[in-house]
Amino acid sequence: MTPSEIRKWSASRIILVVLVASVIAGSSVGLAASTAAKYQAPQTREINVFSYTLPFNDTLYKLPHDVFYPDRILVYKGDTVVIHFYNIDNGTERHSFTIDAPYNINIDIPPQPYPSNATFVANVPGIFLYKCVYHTPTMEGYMEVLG
Amino acid sequence: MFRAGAVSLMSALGVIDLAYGSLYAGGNYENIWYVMGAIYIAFAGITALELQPWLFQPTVLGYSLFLFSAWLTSGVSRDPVAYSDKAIEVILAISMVQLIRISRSPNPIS
Repeated sequence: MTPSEIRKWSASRIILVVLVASVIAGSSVGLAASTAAKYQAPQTREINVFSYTLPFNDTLYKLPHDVFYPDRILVYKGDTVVIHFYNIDNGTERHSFTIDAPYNINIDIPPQPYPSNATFVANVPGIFLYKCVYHTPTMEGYMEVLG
Repeated sequence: MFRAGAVSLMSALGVIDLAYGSLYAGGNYENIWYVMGAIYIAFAGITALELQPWLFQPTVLGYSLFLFSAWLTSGVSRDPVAYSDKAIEVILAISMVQLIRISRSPNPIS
């Protein structure tokens, strides 16, 4: 198609061609930009998790007074998650940081002055409970994997 | 008359885009607005001088529709300045349609 041929096009034809081509091209660029803006490249997220004791008498309330700090973890699908779990209990209590399937994480440690670690790829989106198997239901938290 | 109106609208869009780039857009996005504004200013000059109208009138129409569609689908820049800018863009597109029709009629009047 030569410029001289395009010059001979009727106004309606050239308006229609320009309209269709521009709207398709513009929409494609807009949608691509929107998708690119929302995309989060996978990254390594190091998260420190601590055991923590609430100040109440657990015998009196018949509930464990142990909790996690933090009790919410937010990551994106594809991230490599490194959990550093510190059992800072003053006594001799064991604690665990446990996530069931599909992640199957279990860090089980006595009180010690250094963390135990677990590394995994958050490849399944959703909300997953993490818990201390010795101190449910109070010592629980949620890891949210945004997909 | 349509040509003068279109030149005014393109100039206004150019100024708004350049100002938006320097005042509102953050990050590296201001460069996009500078480029968009500069292109509108260039088109305003070309249209005012009536250079190759058979080529540049459809190009201006396509450019304004391209930017409007991209803005509509991207979901970015939803503020009064952007809304005003896009309203002018729609008026410009309508003006360009009229200008193309007039230019390609057997007895063009503008």
